[in-house]
Amino acid sequence: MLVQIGLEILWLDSVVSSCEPGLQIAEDSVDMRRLRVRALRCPDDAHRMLIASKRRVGIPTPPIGPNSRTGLDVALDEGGDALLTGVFNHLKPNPSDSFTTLTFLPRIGQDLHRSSYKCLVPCRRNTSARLAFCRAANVRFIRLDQPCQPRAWPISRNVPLDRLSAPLLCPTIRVRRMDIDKANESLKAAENCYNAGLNNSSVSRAYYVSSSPSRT
Amino acid sequence: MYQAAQAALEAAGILRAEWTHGGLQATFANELNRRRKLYSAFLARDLNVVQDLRHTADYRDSDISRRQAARALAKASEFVAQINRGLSHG
Repeated sequence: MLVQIGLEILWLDSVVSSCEPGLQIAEDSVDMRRLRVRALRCPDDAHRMLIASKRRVGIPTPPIGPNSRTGLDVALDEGGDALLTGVFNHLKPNPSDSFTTLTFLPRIGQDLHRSSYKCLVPCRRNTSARLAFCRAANVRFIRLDQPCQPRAWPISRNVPLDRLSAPLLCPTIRVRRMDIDKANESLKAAENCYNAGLNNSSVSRAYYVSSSPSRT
Repeated sequence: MYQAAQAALEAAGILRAEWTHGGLQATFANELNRRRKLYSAFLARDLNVVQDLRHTADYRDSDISRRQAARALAKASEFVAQINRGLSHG
């Protein structure tokens, strides 16, 4: 998994619930060169320009009160506004929220055309998490599916993506790989166990028995 | 079987420092069977079946019969054989 960090969030004007995070993995696949983060106004070709946007201050609408418009009109108006800006009005405060700072807003797979990539979008259910001031950061990539070689490095927006195949540095996590020969060996031990009539012995015990029969 | 499943997951790029039995079975079923469809869906089920037999044989009072052991061995052989074929085909 390759995480592209395109924007750094400098400030959160609201609170983020610990139960419902402000970011969630989008259900639909990532379109090619299509920005899925609606809370931020960015062009499709994010390699050329990223425009930081400021949150539109939403005035809470009273849940009950006189309104000259019909309910459907209000709903459609606010719904369309929310879809365009990614900002919803808050009808009531959420006192259980706690203030949290997010340091970056990753966009995954925006320029990498693979269907398996996921996209992080602001959680619609957690309407309290809203982004205020964002700025364009140096585009960085973090490779998450190769724990032996994780690294985040800044790149210029003019650098072609094939540079990403360059050798990575800074190994931090070592993962011991399982060899399939070990599974074959365990299967042979299980067959030995079965042939010896040891139906109720685990593989390791059977291997122990088969390797040292004098101990039985 | 779990060693073979771990090798299959690592070949698919899913690496972890440590695997639990439940986590390995769930990841194998979700990633390799359901999403990527690299292996038969019966393999993930066989992981559970054979693990339950092993727990019965090792930790419970009741024993497993020779027929159950033979079936478990056959499932394990088929499992490891499919993983071997999948790894050899890349």
